Amino acid sequence: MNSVDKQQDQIRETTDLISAFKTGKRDAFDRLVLMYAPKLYRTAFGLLGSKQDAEEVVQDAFMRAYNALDNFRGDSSFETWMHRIAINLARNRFHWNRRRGEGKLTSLSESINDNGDELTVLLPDERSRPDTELEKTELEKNVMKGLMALPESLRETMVLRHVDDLAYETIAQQLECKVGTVKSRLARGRELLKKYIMSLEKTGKGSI
Amino acid sequence: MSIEQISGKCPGIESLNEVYDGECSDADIIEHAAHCPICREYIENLRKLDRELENAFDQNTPADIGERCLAKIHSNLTLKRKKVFPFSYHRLLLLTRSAAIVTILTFSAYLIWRSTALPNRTEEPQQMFVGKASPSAAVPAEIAPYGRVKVSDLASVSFLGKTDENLLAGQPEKYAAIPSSILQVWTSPLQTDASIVSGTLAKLLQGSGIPRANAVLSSNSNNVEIRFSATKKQCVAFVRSCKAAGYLLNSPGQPQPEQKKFLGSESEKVRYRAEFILHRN
Repeated sequence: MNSVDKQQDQIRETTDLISAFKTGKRDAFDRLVLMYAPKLYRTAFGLLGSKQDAEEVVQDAFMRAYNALDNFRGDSSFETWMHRIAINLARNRFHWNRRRGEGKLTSLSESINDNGDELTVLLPDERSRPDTELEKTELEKNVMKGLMALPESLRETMVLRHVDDLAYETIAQQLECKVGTVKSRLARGRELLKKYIMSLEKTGKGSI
Repeated sequence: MSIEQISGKCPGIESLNEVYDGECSDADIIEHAAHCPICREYIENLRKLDRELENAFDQNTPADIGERCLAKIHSNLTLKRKKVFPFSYHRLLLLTRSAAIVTILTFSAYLIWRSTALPNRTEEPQQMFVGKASPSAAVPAEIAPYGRVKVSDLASVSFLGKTDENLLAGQPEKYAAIPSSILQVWTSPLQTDASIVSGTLAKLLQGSGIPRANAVLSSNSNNVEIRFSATKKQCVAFVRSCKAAGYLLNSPGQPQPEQKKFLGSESEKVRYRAEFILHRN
């Protein structure tokens, strides 16, 4: 069975589960959670960079979905719908964290210099968290740091493309922007990320 | 290869990204990217970045994330249910409130019906009490014909608590009362509501110094039968009060009496034998 067939099977199963849920079989929702939680978690983690925040966002997203699933009309796929909920929640969480000062140092936009083409990023010192330090390999850590250092719009586009493997058109719908914007954001985001990783490997400092 | 290196024959960065993502529909660009070493290197770098990102996410995604979310969701749903219905008392409370509202509405509807339908009612006379003491027995229907009552037919004398016959014999004008005086009050047709009649009577009786009375609203007309005990003076005052309030005391017999002739003077010692009709002037 190829990936297209698998995808079709998943869509069919999802439709059946939603129908069962609407007829009162609430247990069907459990299966939906197990099917989609990992994907949503990866998206939320990509947008927030925190395991705990990502998990809470996924839980909130499913709680909202549970309450609203009876009114789900199927205009978009369940996966798209869930993604939209999770992205919105993650955005809210991200901005809330930033207001509290947690995300201040991860913003690239604040460190753009005058001519606008050089980016220097100061990231939170994670050496105080030895458990995470041990868990991650250096490269993975650098990739995640770089991703979190990207501006929000670029990071969202990158996550939807690389993590969720969504098509340009779908990403544009999710982020409510044009396809051309998605293309330019992806190109820009990838360039910045590569630069950041190279800079980190060479100098040990996150400079793009 | 970087942004700066893309030039000349090579397609732009965005186009190469499209090629890598499988979103490019331009056959020429795809063809070029497949054979150009610079573009191939760029695309290879993209692939490498993609793998690194994928690894990073795989590494950070807990294997049991689905089960953990599920447990938390079940926990939240249970809490939510408990919050909505903390006890079964909640439903009981709702039912009680609903019952109370229905009762109040029903009672209100009954009161409205009662006030509007009173003139046409045919049920038994209702008894109402004016004053402080408890009502005595209702007036028998046969002695309460339309508009008149024979005082001599009524019950025994009441002396406002003083039953000493000697006292009565000695100063009858002071203590004598119209024996179980019953007056029939003919109210105006509009004053058919029991509470209005009761209010009017209360004023007339209190103005006459009569402390208490027992009144019955007749069902077949707008009559009110009143039983009270009073001295002659109080009774005269009551008749005057009725007249002053726009009610006239008339006798159906001969001739049209003046109230003093009718009731006699205050010093008169005789007992009365009379018929009364009190009606709106």
